[in-house]
Amino acid sequence: METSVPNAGAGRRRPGLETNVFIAGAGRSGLHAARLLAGHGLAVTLVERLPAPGGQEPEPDAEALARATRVAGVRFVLGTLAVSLTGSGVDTLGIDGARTFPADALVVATGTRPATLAELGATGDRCAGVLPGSAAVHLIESGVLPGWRPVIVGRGDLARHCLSLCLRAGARGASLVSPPGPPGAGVPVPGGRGQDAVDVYDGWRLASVHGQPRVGHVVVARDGQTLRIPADAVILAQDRRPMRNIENAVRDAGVVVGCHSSADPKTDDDAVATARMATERVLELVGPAHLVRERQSER
Amino acid sequence: MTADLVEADVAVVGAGVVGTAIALRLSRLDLSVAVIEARHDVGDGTSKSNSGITASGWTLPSSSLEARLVTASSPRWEDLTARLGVQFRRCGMVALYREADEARRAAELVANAGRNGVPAHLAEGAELAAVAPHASPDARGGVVIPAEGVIDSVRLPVAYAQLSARNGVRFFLGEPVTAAERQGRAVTELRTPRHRFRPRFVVNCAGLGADQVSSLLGSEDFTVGPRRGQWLLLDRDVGDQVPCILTGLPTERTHGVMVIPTAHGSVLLGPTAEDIGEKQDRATDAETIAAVLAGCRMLMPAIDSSRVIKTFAGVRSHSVPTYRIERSERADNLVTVAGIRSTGVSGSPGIADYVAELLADAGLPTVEKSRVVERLDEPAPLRVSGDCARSAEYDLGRTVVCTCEKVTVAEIHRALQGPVPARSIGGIARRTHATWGRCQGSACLSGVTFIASLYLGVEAWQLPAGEPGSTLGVAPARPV
Repeated sequence: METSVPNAGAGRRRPGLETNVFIAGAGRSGLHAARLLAGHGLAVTLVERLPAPGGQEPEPDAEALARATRVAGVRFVLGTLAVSLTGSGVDTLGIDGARTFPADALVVATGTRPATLAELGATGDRCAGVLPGSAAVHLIESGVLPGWRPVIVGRGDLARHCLSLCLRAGARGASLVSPPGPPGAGVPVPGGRGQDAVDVYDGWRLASVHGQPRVGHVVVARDGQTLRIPADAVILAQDRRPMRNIENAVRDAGVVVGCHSSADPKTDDDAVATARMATERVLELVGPAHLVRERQSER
Repeated sequence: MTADLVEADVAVVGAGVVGTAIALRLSRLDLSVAVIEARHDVGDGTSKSNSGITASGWTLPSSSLEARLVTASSPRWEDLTARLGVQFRRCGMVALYREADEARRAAELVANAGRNGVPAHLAEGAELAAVAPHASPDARGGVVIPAEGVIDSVRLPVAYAQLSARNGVRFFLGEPVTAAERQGRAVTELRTPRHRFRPRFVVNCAGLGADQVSSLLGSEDFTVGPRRGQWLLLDRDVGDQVPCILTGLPTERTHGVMVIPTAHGSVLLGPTAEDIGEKQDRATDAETIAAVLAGCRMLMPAIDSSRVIKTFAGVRSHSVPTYRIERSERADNLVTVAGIRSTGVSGSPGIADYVAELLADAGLPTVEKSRVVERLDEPAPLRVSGDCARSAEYDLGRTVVCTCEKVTVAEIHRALQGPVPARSIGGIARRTHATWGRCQGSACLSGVTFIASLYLGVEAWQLPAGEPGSTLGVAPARPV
């Protein structure tokens, strides 16, 4: 499902002068980075795992942003996953089969995910009913009620969204465990139906989960105190951590440049700022010749 | 309700790594074999969380049965894992010591290894640094054991079972043995909630449940005690920092904590050895996890705790006396395999041969089948081969569901089909690694669920994570 656009640079530039930038992920950050880098005269290939650009949860302006990116000359390859970085480029696998793309720079804009139990430092039993928030959203939308009385862990958009979905899907109540956050970050209690049934543990962190085979309670901690909260599901919706899954490109090194916006709630400004930083790093990486073009393109 | 009757030459009770290895060994003979397992999947008890080490047997008391069976197994892994399609690497082990007075103990261990026919030598200084560049500079020296290896020990019992099934072994999963009948000195019938088995011979290799099964069969009384080990798993991106297994000098009771490169490229830290009361207690606690990390940093200071993707606990079984593999003195057609502790994976090929000998002694006919399927011809997973072109030959191989572990729809499809198919999310993970990567299912759990729900014919909310009752949700959701 490769989409060629008339002014896509590939094939028009003389071989040898072309610098190839490969961007994995056509969410907001990846689209902005692609547009900026194409504006600097680089040959940009933007590969997206899903069949359409815009990310996991496309916002209303995603289509316009994707159009602007195409017009900037970016080559889109959709329904395709960047699998690994090798000596000859980036190996991909998708609905068109296996392909390898040259990559003088690889921008990893594969979005974010919530923190895992291990990253939260939570221990306890291995029990059913513990779900990553991102998966919980899909599952609830597809007809799975995670619990009658779930504990939702987090302080931000995803936690708010999960809480609201659970209550709408039929949960009788919920506990929101919101660890200490940046000053000003509010605890996301949704208004309206179900609000009375939400217990908020502001400033507490998830210490452990317990139960067999299904979760029966969690323990939360704050300042050396612990509390036991009954629960039949735990939804992990804390933090926005970079989703890094390209083999040999899990960390920034060599030609690999991360591009992950972590603001919560997500904003276009933050995505643009993230994309600008990634763009600068790519330009440093691929050499000063392009800095000249950058100045030209800005004029 | 009358339970269905199953006639079998041999009933193997327990489908852990030992039971499935025995099943594979017996599948070469012209016999009917039934494997009966209480849990919903093979390899779902003690076998599901262990070190993944194929031990050489260098520390085992020489002349012990355990040493004999482990050392007999160790040289066979290259051939066996190639035929089973299980990841294996003979990466070697270095047992470090810090104090001058430990050098004597190290030399004794080298001598013990020699008695067991396992090559081992002492290394210090530059030689040690060359073999184990990741070892702590505080280490004065180390015992190098090149024959130690690592294996995908979660996949191993599945592969044993699948190849057994190809050779005619029948598996009865989710069927706890609840009663037995005897006639004189023979066990004649085993009952589960769904079947009555009429075996000519019985092998009890029920792991943590072997004591209860032994009592049901009217055989020897013994107690299997659970010993818990807590573990940390590190990201695959630090795997290349750990070329070989690091441990301290083992004591009689335990190896202590280890830094282990896994067969699939990640790093495992642990285990503890905690004698616990409850056989299903697989809980971790923060204090112990921190202690494991600290212990492993004594071996390898450069461990980056930000790369921990999962902490978990496993339970292994030990009995008194330990390592009991023998014909029952109270039932002539029964062989007991119990208390295998830490070397179930490592000794499994040798244990299987030995159990076949014990059954032959008891009168089991040992005529070889004229045709035996020798290998599981499953394509290597994309995570292992890295071969996108090969994966793309099939449409289902073009869509990657688990992006961390590179599991394609084709691989999940295979896990849900064929002999001994997955029946749960955990079963899919055991066969493919889906949901086991660094994001722990954030990206793929929903996709895996929807595929499994189609194959298994249950609503997504009812899909089990593992044992019955461990459903993904509690009810259908109202439309949102």
